[in-house]
Amino acid sequence: MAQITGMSLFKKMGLLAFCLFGCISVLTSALTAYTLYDRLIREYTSKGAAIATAIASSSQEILLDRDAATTQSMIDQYLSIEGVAYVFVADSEGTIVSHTFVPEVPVGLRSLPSSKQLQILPELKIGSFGRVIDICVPVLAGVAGYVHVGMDKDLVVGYFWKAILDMQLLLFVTFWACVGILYYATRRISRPLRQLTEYARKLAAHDFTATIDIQTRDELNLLGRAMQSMGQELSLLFTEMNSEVDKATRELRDHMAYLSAILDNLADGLLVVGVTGEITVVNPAMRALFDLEDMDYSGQKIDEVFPDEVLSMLSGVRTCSLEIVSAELPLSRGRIGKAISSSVVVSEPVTQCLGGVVLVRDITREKELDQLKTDFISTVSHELRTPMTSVLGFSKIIRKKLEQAIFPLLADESSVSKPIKQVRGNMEIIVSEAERLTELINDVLDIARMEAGEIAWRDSDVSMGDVLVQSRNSTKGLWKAKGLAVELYVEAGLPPVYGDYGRLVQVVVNLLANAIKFSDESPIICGIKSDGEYQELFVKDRGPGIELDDLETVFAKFKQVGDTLTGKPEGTGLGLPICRRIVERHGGRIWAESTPGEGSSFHCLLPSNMSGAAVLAETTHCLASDRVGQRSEPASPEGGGGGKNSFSSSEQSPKILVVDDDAVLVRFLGEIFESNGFQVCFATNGEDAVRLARELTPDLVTMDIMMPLMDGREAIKSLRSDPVTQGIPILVITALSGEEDNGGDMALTKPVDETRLLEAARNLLGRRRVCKPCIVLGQRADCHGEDLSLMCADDISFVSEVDFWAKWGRDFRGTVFIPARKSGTINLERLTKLSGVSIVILPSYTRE
Amino acid sequence: MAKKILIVDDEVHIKMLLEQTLEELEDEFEVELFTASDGEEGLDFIQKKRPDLVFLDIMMPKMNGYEVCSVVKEDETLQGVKIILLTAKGQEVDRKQGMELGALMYMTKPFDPDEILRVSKEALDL
Repeated sequence: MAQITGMSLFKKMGLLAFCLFGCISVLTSALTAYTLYDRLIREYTSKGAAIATAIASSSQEILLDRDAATTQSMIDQYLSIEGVAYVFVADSEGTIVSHTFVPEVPVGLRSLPSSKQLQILPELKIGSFGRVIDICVPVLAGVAGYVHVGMDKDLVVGYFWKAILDMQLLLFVTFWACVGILYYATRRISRPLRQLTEYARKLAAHDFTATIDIQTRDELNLLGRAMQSMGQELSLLFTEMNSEVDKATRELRDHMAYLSAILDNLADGLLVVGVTGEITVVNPAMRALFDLEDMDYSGQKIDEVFPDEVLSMLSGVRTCSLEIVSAELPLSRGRIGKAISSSVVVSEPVTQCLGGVVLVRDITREKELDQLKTDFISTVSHELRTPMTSVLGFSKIIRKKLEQAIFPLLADESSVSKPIKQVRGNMEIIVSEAERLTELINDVLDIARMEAGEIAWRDSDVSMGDVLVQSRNSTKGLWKAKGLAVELYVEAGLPPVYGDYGRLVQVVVNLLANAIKFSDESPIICGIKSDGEYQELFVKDRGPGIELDDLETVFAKFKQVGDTLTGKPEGTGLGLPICRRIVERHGGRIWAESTPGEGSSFHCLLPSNMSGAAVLAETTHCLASDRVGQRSEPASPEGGGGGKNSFSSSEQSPKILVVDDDAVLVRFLGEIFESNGFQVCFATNGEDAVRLARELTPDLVTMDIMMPLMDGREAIKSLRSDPVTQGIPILVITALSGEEDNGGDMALTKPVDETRLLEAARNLLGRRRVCKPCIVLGQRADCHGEDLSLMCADDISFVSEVDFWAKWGRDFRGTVFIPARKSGTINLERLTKLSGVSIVILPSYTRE
Repeated sequence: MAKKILIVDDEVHIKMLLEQTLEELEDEFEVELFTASDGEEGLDFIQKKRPDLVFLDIMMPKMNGYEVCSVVKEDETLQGVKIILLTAKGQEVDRKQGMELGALMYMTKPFDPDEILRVSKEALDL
């Protein structure tokens, strides 16, 4: 606070007064002195002029008479007048006749100029007189002479200085009188001010006992009183505030004690650190977990006290990451702890990070129990499998033996027909129950391993379209058996999902199997749609539906909804819980929706892997159809194909080149062809298709029309113009109906129906066009039995006659050479009906 | 020459079950069936008689199935022996290990006798 004293105020006022007085005195002195001087000079001048005029007028005759003595006596009288320095009279020639000088006229006055008028010389310096004003009056216009009167100018200057001095003296006295008065007045003002200042200072120092005593009866007194009442108010407030603060402090202390008691008695270890890594709280449980001494660790650096594992858990604290990190930590004495760490963030007044919290729980016992549980489950289920093998295996063998060897023998015995029926039924029960038990063991083991985190997930970018196609094929046995259809809807251009292909297939298979189980009418709709970030998989059925209350229950272990006494569905009740585990592990969620009586639908939301390949674009490749070692049903051709179309070995199975830019559709078509024993090659654009067709010469090409790089029409033209590929039949599969005239041999519109596709493919495969010029030679008797040798542009082969007619007959172009002795064995009439075929009968040369 | 199938399992019942399952092949294709009760015995038989197909259990005394399989697959003279691993260990890791050792197939117990018949016929080209 600034030191205000009375004197400083007075000094300021004094300095101001001094300056003011200085200015005033100098100005008034100057003005007065100037006025006085001016007046006196004029006064003296006019006085001198009057004297001179008086002398002149009264001494005309005297001067004319040149009466010097009279003149002298006259002028001597004038000398006694104040201010007159000299008087002299000169004649018309300027010669001084009489004067008042003693002893003689000074030199400077002897040659003064004379004029016919009054002449005033304002300043003359005369040796003994100093400065004078000379006034010259002519007598009778200078005829009678001139009168000169000198007025003493130094006298005027003397008066002038005296006046100034007097004035200054007066002002000086007045000034100091004013200063005195001022000092008194300021003291009167500054004393109460000093008192007020002092009082305010005491108030600031919380001294509310101070008083103020101002005697004056002016505004300062009012101010003083106001300040005193303010002081009292402050004192009151301060007292109240103090009591409030004391109360709050007490409460806070109690609260802190309560919190600290909680922390101290917390069963879990707690560690709180600041942003810079200094410890603020370590509770006794934490000290016990890490075997730390019982002391205060606050302020110490975390890395000096705790192992690196704890340090790494708090790495997010510096960046104020809101992520909750959980990990297992090794504790002292070989124990294991589960730790969870998070950042301490306050949002008021501004969002800032105060540090991090780590909670550690000793889970050694839980881990042991968990291990025990896992061991128990895997041991038990392993031990269960062995007897199950015997039960299932032997019951199947018994059933087989009964059916094959025993029942036929007893078929005629009417007395045993009922027991036989019973035995047959019972055997069925044993087999189906054994199968159910096996399924249960597998599921229990699966879910136990998932819960124990013992599943090895094999993650990669997965196309959900592939998953759907594979799942549909895997459940084919189930839906075919019930006469249902499964329709697939897959959005084109889906991004991949990062996950375990096999497990995702398990989810879809499970959902499909459930849908099939509860459906009595078609179709079951299964599909996948995407909104970019997530993909939604759905499986809809037209079954009885699920009650609203049960929509969540169905995902609980061993819960099967519905009346389990009357219509207990088959299954273990573990399928959906396993699905939920798998989906949640992939970062997705699974839920059910249903309208009772109309059916239900199951949905899974899975995150797309946007950073993965944009679409699982297939590189062109072929799948060998070597099915040994793969678990799948033997190829069962469908439609009217019959057995002759199931190709068991890859060497003779027809090769189909599937061309489509939609990777999912390619997989779908591939799966169909593959499961029917064909070899499949893929291409995703026209260019690749043409190149592959040249390299591999497939037996059939399925061609999409709308494709990048080279569309289907171009590709077909290109295939037809190349002698190597022109004979390959082409099946156009397009979304645009009425596209048969693209140059293909047959067309199907999307969505593709499996039966029609296979029918069309078989149809086209059966009539491979042979446009190459070929020659057929008759059989040689000594080799290849009944085969005919067939020479074409790029190969020589032997075909049986049946094959020739079946495969080559219709589209054959070329010459047939038939040895005469064989001509009877070949149907010549049929040959002649073929267009573009020449027949040459070779005469046989027999040895003489 | 008659084809030979060897069954190696320490469980008597499983051996019986497999024998009874494969009896059909004995009758139909004159396949000969042999059994062994542990890994060593099984390996000994394989080296001496070179069966065409071996059903091999993994968890057995003396020498486990993996060991037998790897010894057989490293032996140049036993290239024609096809091995199908049969086990109650249904874990993915075990399956992978078995396939890496060069087994033809890996089947988990309990198995379906008809499936056993099917794969045997396939493996023996019957």
